[in-house]
Amino acid sequence: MKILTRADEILLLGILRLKDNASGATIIKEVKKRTGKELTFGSLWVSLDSLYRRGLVNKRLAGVTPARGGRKKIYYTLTVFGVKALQDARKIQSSLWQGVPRILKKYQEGQ
Amino acid sequence: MKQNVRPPRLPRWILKLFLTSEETSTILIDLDEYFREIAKKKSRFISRCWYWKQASGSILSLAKRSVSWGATMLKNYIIITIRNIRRNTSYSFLNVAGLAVGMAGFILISLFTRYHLSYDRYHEQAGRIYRVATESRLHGTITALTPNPMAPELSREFPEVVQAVRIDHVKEKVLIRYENKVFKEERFFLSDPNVFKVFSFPLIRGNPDSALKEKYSVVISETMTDKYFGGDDPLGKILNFENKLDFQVTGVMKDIPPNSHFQSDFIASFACADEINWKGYSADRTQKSLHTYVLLRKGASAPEFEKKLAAFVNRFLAPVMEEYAPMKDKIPGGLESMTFALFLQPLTRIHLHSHLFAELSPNYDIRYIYIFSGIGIFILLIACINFMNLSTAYSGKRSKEVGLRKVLGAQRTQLIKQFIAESVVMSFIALFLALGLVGVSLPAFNSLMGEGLVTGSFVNGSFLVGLVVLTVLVGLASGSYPAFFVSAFRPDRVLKGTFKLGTKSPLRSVLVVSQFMITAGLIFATIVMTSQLHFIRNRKLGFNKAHVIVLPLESEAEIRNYLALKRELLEFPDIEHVTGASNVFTRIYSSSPFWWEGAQENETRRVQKLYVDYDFIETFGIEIVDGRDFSKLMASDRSQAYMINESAAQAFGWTSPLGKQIARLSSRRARGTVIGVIEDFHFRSLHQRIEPLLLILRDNYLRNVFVKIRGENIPGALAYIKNKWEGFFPARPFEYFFLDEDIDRMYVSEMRLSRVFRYTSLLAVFIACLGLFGLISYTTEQRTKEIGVRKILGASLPSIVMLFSREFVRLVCIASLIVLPFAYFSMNRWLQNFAYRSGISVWMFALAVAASLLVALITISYKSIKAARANPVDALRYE
Repeated sequence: MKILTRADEILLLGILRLKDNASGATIIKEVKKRTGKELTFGSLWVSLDSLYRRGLVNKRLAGVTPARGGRKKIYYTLTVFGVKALQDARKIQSSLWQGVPRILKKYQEGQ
Repeated sequence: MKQNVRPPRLPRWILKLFLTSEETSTILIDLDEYFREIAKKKSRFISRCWYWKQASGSILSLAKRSVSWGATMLKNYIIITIRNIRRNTSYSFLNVAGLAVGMAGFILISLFTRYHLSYDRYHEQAGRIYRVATESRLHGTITALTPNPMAPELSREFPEVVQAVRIDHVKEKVLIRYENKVFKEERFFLSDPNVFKVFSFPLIRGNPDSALKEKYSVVISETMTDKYFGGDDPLGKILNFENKLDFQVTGVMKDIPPNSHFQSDFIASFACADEINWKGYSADRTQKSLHTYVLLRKGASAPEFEKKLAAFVNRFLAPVMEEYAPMKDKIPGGLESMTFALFLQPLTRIHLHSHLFAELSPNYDIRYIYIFSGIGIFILLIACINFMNLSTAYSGKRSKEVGLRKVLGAQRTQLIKQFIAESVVMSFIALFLALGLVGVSLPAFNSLMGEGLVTGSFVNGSFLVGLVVLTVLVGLASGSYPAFFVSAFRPDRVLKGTFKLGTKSPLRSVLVVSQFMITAGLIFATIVMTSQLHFIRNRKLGFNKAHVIVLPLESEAEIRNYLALKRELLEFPDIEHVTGASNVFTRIYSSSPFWWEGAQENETRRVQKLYVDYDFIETFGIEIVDGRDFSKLMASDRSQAYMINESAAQAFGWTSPLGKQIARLSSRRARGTVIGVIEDFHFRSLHQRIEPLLLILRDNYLRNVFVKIRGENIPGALAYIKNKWEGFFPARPFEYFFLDEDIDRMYVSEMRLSRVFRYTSLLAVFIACLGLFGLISYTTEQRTKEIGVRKILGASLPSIVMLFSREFVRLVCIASLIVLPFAYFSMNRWLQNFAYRSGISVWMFALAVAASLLVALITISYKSIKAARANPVDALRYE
């Protein structure tokens, strides 16, 4: 299993947080709230499609509303593999950061 | 809160173009929804900006993704293409071969035109170099030559002239000697020291700034270094010029590239011009005898500079006018005749646009470049049409594949992309074949074009890039129609098996018609040219040109030996006549003003003249219409007799010319009498009308000896002449040429053009035949069952062949009808170049149509007869 990239991780976490309400616009808002960066719909779609192809997220078409002209909206949820990938990422993350804060602090004091 | 929250249309529309699938189109819906939300909170401008940013960002990332997907699909397309090529070998071969031949023709022709367009562009300052040419006031004759001291004065008087340089072609041939090596050199020039600052002729040895500063210094080309000095160091060596002057080699320049209008092997310092020509030569303001080039300052305007030249000429000629003023009555045409106008020719335009008197090398005609480019494009067009035609016809075979792809979810755009990619792959295969063909045929092509100069060195990076772009374009152009056509198949019908591709399609007919238009047009042009050249070669020129050897005499001393040489040559039994004339008389450009009986006292008219020896009329078998030939028995013939041609008699308005008087200028002295009238003979090329001509008996101007040989013993006679020649002129190499060959050389460019047309029409016919062959084999295959049924019901073989041929015959006829008026018009224009022409007659049209028809029928009949002869049982057993 490939290690998740930061961008993948951000998206997966966003979808996880949004629970059942993870669609294009909400994910963009969520990502913006957390990172301050606004994705475009196109690049979001491309990234989500790649996550989908790797089996990390599921797509679900739902929510026909009159406002959308009867068109469906795609909702995303994490698959088992997606969840697993996040857990792995977490593990790697914490092992990477193991003991680092202490060293960082030293550097800061040194300045 | 704003009412109108519609997203901006333009970015939305552009974005939509990129959203090809059902799924991606949800992006747009999400985006619009979000936009409305933002538009509620923010100003119209900010929200619109946001939308633009979103749309462009989206397009970028979608495009990136499709590129990486595209690569995967491309691989698949290439595999499918190669499989298809293997499956339909004969069809693919026809298709690719046709395209390859067309491309090869196109590449060859573009190499050729590129070569001619590249003339003189290699000079670093090419854009700022101009040649100064003169137009004489009196006769309007335009020449590339200028008076000698003009260059220094131009650079002195005009700040915009950075450099002005003279180039003086000393003589047609000069004798150069180094120790015991003696050669005749044609490319010996004199020039100012700054010649290397104007032109980019890099020196390998020596200093370009000082090489020509010293008198008697010469810069030679690399080839000459090898020729004269072998491996020795050339610098400081002494070359002897015409047994007269010694030049010291002060530099070696790289050989001047062939695409240069100025070709030189020796550039000697201009300081010794007076010694080589005559005293005061370099200061002579009236003599127009050398070429002047100017290098303008950066940013200087050539037209502005040209305007100032009129005033300059007046200043320049002022001393001359003063000098000649006292004797102005004696100058024919008065002082006015000595003035001239100056104009500039951009260096890079000389080769293709300049046709002046005294060009440094034979120039090419831009019209031929246009004609050849047109031909190249036509050939490529035929090949592309072929490709489209065959691909469309054979697409029926691919219908199942298309159907299946569609069922499996292929979008139409994907199919279009696939087929276009396929044709691009095919055209790349064709490109490689074409490059091979070009490599093989380049030598033959060079000899066809008459120059062995179009070589691989012109295949550089930009050319290759151009080729690749061209190939992609050809692939796109010829693949687009089949792609749209094929991708429109309805999968349900295709897969059910009820799908049937029609054997006729209007577009395919149009394609066949346009292909045969080009072919018939080219055939017609070839016929007209061939008949005109045939006409030229067989036209009665009015004299007998066969078996005549011409020996040019070069100096006064050689001419003095003429009579003795003539006497000795006549001793050989196979030499029938020996005579002499001032010019090789097929190219007389030596006119003088003459007064004639019946004209006003001061009236003169310029008439061509030719100085001849006795026997001239007899040697060439020219008919005497009236009067008699020059005779040795009449002493007065030596100074006071003229023979004129019929045109001259007409021009002077004489009905009985014998005994009438003619005089050089209007002087009463030196009047001569007309003793004979000869039939008009073509003393120039057939491009020009026969002009009035005077023959004058003289033995001191005979620069050419004509030897008429009896019978076939030419080698024997030549050996004899050579032997005698060396006895008379031991220092000079023996040189001669045949008169008839010399006459043929006047039509060299027409002959070349006609040959090019002959080969290109062959090529066009070949490609068109390939296409027809492919089409007919497809049609017969489609109609196998029909033929079977027809045969069983009693159809005869001819009737079936007719069935197939009728349609194509009709198309070829339509094509001919459309193209022939155009062809007639353009060939008529070409014929205007000749004063004497064969004309265009009905049989030429008929022959062109018949030839195209015949070719089409032969191609068709092979397949259709085969189909018609097949056993109907085989055809019908299929079900």
